[in-house]
Amino acid sequence: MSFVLLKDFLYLFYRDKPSRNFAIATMIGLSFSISVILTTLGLMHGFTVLLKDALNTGNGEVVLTSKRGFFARSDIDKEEFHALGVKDFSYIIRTDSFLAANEDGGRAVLVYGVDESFGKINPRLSIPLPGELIIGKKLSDHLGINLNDEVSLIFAGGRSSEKYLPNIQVFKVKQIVDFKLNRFSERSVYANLEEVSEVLQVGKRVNSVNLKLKKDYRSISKIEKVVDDLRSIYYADFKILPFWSEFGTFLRAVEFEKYMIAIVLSVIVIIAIFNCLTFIVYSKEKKAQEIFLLYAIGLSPKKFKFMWLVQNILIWLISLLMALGLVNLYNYLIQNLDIFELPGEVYQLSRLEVMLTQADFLIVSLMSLFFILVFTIITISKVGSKSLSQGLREEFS
Amino acid sequence: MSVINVENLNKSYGKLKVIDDLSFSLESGKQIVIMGASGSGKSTFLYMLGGLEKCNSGKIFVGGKEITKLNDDALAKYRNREIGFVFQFHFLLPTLTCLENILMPARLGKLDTKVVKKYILSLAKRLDVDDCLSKYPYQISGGQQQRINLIRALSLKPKLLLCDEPTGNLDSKNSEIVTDLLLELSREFGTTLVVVTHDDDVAERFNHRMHMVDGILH
Repeated sequence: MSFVLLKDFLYLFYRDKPSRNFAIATMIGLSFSISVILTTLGLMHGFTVLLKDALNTGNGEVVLTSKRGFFARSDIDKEEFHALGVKDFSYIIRTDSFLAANEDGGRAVLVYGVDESFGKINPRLSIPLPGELIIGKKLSDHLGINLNDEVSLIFAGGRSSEKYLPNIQVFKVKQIVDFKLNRFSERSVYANLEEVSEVLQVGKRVNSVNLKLKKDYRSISKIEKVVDDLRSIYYADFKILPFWSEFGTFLRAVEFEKYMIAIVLSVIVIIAIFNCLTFIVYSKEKKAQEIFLLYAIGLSPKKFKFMWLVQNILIWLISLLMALGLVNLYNYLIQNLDIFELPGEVYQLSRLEVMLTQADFLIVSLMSLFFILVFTIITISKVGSKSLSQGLREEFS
Repeated sequence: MSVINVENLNKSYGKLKVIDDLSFSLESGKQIVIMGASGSGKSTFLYMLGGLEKCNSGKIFVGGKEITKLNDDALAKYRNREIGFVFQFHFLLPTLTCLENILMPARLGKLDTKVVKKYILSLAKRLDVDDCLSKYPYQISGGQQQRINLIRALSLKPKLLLCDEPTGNLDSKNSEIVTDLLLELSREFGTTLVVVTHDDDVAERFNHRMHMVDGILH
């Protein structure tokens, strides 16, 4: 099929305005349909990635939580950690508390007692000194807390000598962090490890260790392997979980839903493809004179039918490129418009991002191409049933 | 030497027999007119000679090539390179200029349009339509349209020029001009000319006349 012939074909068929408008409308319809599917898949993948990223940033790759309350730091074999692929680790105290911001406001929070070593787990966080507290933006918004405000953490007093009386500790808000994860942003506060130890009177003991693995060990499969290795050693004393474990079922559901939704949404691509077929029928009716004349002066019907196919493949290609443009536009709007901010009480993440994987893009684009080819071939085979002489007589009489 | 040889050609549309065991031959460079009433099968026969219509049985040889055996692609090439068609209606594409219309067979045949264009310009000058080339078909008269059609049919110097009622849509003056041109040009280029018409005035200008009655040539 020569390029000149294709050029003539397009020139002949798109010279009049109605045909051009029909073709443009067809491409807009198809690109919109493809972009809706791509954006949906991209949003679901973006959700998974952002959620995992947020969990990973806050916790490292693996979290060890003591099954028996607090443990001595010497219970951990550092050499063994390194041998299993652990690059850095941080001892942490995690405990429930109640944050009182002012006379009226307060909220149950999860306190993380951290020291400098936590900077290697979460580099975005500045480590709090004694008397300092780091809180999430959602919590600060909810309770009206500003930077440098004084707040109180009320710890249960069960471990102190004055049984049943709570310990109240006053902190100054050092940093307000916009955690991507709503639950972190609303509930997590970071305080100095030593200070929390003192308040809880647990000495040098901690109840949790967060691990940052070496770069080569950060893929999902490698992390699972490290978790298995650690479990084989520490199974009796620790609950050992990868960073996404809390959301594991949820993330798997999202992944499954992604493909179910893709299948359901493929219906709108099929509807859009019907427009392409309508366009063939319209062109065939509108350009019947041209078609039969071209046949008479030497165009092979077979080649001509092939050009219909090429035309629809071109429509698909242009639509696909337009769809990518639309996906970027949607992503920009989702990222920047306030109406797209997600409510924290419902969603884990405050904002979503369209992250399109190559696999999703290929699946959607090839699926739409497949439908285009199949439907076009069926339509074309039904179109050219008249003999040339009959067509010429009918069209030019 | 025969350029067209037809052997026992048959064509039916359902139960209606249009061409009935027709055999015919025509020497190269001859000019022949086929007359007949509407529905006699003369146009169908012409279309079969031009590879636009398939027969039910029989053989058609054009220039020694059996066109009844050709596949769609080969038939398209045959129509493009060896046949020139002139129809009753001008069959010019309304969205193309006259020159673009004339050049279309050359473009379809992937020929050098520059060379063809030179030839076309000389023909257009001779047929007095050189000022129509940049115009669209609807901007010129019926006679001019038919002359443009004739130039397109001759643009690739075909062996065989097939004309189906070429003057059927023209007034008597233009009809005479077009008929004269057909005869003159086919003589000059040695092109074999087959004209189908029911117009006696046109037919009288030909030395060889045949009549088609119920699918049989007499």
